[in-house]
Amino acid sequence: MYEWAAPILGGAVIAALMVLLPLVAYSKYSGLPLLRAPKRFVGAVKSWTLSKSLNRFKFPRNINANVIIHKLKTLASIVRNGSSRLAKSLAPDGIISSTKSAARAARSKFREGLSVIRLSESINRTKLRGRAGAGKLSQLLDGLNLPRVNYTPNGIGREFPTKPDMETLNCRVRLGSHEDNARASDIFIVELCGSIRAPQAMHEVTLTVSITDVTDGTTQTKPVRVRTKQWQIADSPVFCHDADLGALHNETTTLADWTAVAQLSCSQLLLPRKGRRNLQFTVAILSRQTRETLACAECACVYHSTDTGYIDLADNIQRTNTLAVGLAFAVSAADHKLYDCEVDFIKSWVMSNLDASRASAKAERKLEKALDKTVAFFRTGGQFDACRVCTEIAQIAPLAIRYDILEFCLGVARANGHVTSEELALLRNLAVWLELDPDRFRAMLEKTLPVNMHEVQDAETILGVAPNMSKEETRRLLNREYAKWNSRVTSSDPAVQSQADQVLALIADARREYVGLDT
Amino acid sequence: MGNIVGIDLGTTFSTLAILNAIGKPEIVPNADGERLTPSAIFFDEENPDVIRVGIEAINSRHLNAERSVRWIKRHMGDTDYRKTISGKDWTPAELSALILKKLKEDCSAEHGEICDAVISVPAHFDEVRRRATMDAGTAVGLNVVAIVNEPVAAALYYATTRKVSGKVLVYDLGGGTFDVTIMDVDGQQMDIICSQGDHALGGIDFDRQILEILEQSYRDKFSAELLNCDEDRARYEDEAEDIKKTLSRRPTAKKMLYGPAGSLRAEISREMFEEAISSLIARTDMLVEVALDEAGAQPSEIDKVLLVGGSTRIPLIRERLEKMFGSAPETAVNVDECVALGAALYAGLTMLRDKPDSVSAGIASGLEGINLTDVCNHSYGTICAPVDEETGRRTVQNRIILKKNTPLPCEASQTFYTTYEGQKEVEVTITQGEDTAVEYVNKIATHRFELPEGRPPDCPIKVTFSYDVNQRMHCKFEDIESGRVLQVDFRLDQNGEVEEDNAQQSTEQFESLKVE
Ligand SMILES: Nc1ncnc2c1ncn2[C@@H]1O[C@H](COP(=O)(O)OP(=O)(O)OP(=O)(O)O)[C@@H](O)[C@H]1O
Ligand SMILES: [Mg+2]
Repeated sequence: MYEWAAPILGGAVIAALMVLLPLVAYSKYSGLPLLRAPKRFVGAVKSWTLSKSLNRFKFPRNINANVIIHKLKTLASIVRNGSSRLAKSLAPDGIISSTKSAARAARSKFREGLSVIRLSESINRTKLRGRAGAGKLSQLLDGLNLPRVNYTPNGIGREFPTKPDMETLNCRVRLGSHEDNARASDIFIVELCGSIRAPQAMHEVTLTVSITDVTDGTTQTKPVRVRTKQWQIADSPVFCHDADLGALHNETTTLADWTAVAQLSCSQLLLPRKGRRNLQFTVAILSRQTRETLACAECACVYHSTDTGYIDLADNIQRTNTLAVGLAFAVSAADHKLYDCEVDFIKSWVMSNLDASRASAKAERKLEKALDKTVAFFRTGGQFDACRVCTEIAQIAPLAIRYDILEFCLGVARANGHVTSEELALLRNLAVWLELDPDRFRAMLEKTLPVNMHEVQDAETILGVAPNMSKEETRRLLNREYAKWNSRVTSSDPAVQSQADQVLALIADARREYVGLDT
Repeated sequence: MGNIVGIDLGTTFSTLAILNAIGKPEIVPNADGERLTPSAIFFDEENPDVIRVGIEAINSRHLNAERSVRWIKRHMGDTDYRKTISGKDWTPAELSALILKKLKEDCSAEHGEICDAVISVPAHFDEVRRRATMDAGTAVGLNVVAIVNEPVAAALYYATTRKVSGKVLVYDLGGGTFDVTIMDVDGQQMDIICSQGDHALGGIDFDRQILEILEQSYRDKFSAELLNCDEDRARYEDEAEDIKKTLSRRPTAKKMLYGPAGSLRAEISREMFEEAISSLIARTDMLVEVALDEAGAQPSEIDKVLLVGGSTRIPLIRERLEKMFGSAPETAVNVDECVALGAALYAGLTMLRDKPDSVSAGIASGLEGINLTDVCNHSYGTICAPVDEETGRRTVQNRIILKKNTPLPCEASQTFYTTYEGQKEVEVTITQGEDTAVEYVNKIATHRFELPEGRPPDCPIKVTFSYDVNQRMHCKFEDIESGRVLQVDFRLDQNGEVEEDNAQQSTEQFESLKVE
């Protein structure tokens, strides 16, 4: 039962517990090392639906299809390799009209998607019409290995209007799936058809796509966020896709067929909540210079999100932190003694993680009271179902937060300078119940609770030797631990050095005891 | 041309070997005629002008333990350790310098001035400890041309004096440290594969176990303590060592214990001793297994086990090795001399490589054909903040760039990226250690690397570490876009100008000291 938590779960208190992370333990490194390790780039907007849209452009008889194909291949390789020199070598011969746009494409080395729309735009401008070569083109496009899109037969949302009004701009969104490293993920495919009117020919334009969540009605719209900075509006997590389209050749450009202009990876988008969501897409073509809207279209679609929404997350954080305080008390009380230093540690965690700008003095006092009640609950032997609480946390809190909670609990165990076997047993259970990696838990344990703090110092507690291990398994485990601690023994930190010395002695005893001296 | 020597600065005994006219190393006995000099120091109160080093210091220890120092090697590199004698604080490097001074002077008296020297250290010694050893040599006016790993020196001596070939494991169990080195030997060509060492495992730990047995039997008999002052302890430490050595020859050893409550005739059997040191033996087993693992070798693939260090005389050690490897290990005539002899060879080889003109033709021809490739003794890396794949959070980590056991000379690079927009500088740290967790590695240098302003995040910075045969490390941080470069050099004998001044001072200080 964890109803005990009621006193600290009251509304005002929850507000006061508005927290709080990242935790103190991590903050000591902030601002220190400023390098990050190599990492592969992951884009949100994967690519543009090339083959489908290009299939619609027909070749005039007087242009050699092979020339187009060659150019496409070159451009695709530029896109992949990012060479601007190569881009410049492409002559403006009426097929790819602007080397500038090609060069720009080349520069955005990883932004394959954006480049490809420029490509399709360029081709659009040449007004390739006619029949010849269309089949061949699509065949060759297949060979380019550009990211592939599969349409799901059943689109999402309502039926598309059968006959769009070609005088204005129309948009529609379809749900597709994208294979990346053999993992399929949902994508929104944004398509346009109809007309765009520019003030004059050769007007430079950009495309923007934004999404709003209108599930709770149009008066309570909520923004859709995105995980990747690149697709965020300046300094806010809100999603807005903005792409340079180059120049429109004529005053009026007509897209006779539905043309895919953007493909958005759903996994990169952050909806307000999980479950069935009504989304409204707004697509606009803007003048690049004046940012004036030349054409705009809206459409709605329904999406079933399996990801936790950002509002869900905020709710969960509050709940999680409240529960974490409960776990911390449980650790403190595990040995049937609630030391003042442990209580102080918990209180100071709550206080220091409290968002002071939000909590009023009154709320703070209330929180104090709630904490005191909780202390009283544990002091009088109150029972607490830590397993259930952990299960709940595991469902609502991301992994990083769960590690923070464990770190917090380890801090509580450490507060009075030694850890009892009951405390340790509970900590070990918490790691399991919170679904954390056992090796990581061990590493955290080593750091926060050095061996001399342990009430019981045996191979099982300190080294993780389990009774069911075979001799050979134990031997290997101990060798691993020995190699690890032996390399730490020359540490310049005396605390690490003496811990290493103690653990090495323990390992040697364990080897003698569990493995013996026969080889 | 000047003398070239090798010095084994041991935990319990130190030895000096000189290269003779034909390039063969020979042990130089000290002024007392002993081939080994105990690494012990005694500051005589009655005669403060003379500092005693060696056997006399050992004997004086029983009279005044306060003013004597032993096993200083265990404290090398420990910045907090100080021995205070008559108001002066001695650092481990300074105390080691006294031992070196004694060796140097005793040798010079016989052979003339020493020019160039190599001092040996355990393979697992880190940069700080190596540097402290180097400093100790420089302070007494030795031109320390290199620091060599003890097992490497020993193997060098073995390989040049007898026929060994194939995969060789050097098992070096001395007075205070234990090292295992695995190497490929083909005639005079030696390639080190890997080294592992335990800094707190050696003869003195075995002595301690015997001392505990003695103390316990006294307690059992008289319910009183045998040792009541430092001088008692000093005396019985030596008795314990004596018992240990006896047990290497005989199944039992007897000793009279004279304590405050009466005297006791203690008898210790070899079984009792072996039982008492079983945890330490377990530790040696693990180290051998870890080294074999690192070398990717099975015990059966080891062609020869070479014994080095006085503690390998313990029968149990030999039995275990024979059992593990299937054949009896090979012993030099004198296991406690081969490190110094090898160090002298190493000194000759270093001189031949770096300053061939200052090596006599006789020595040069004696050393001809010997070739040794060493490896990086530790891993070197830098601190970075990658995003943890599991939690999605930036974490601070040590990333290894140059891996331990890479053959020298070597070079390795990795590219890192700036973390935020407009990042103007990067704190670059050079680390030594095997862990990813920063808490467990040693930061050997930290510098600020300034970057151009106004750039997006993710600008690449290439980090290149290289390590040459003279154990000089070169680190280069390169901002790819701007071409800006930060370079950091490490040499064992070079600590930057400020410390060189100190070195100068301390050389003068040691010149005026008298050591006997
Ligand atoms: N017969 C023997 N039996 C057992 N131990 C012995 C015997 N002879 C010497 N020893 C031990 O060997 C140790 C000295 O060996 P050695 O001179 O190789 O060590 P060291 O060079 O001083 O130390 P280290 O190399 O660890 O710094 C001492 O502890 C000594 O007690
Ligand atoms: Mg030695």
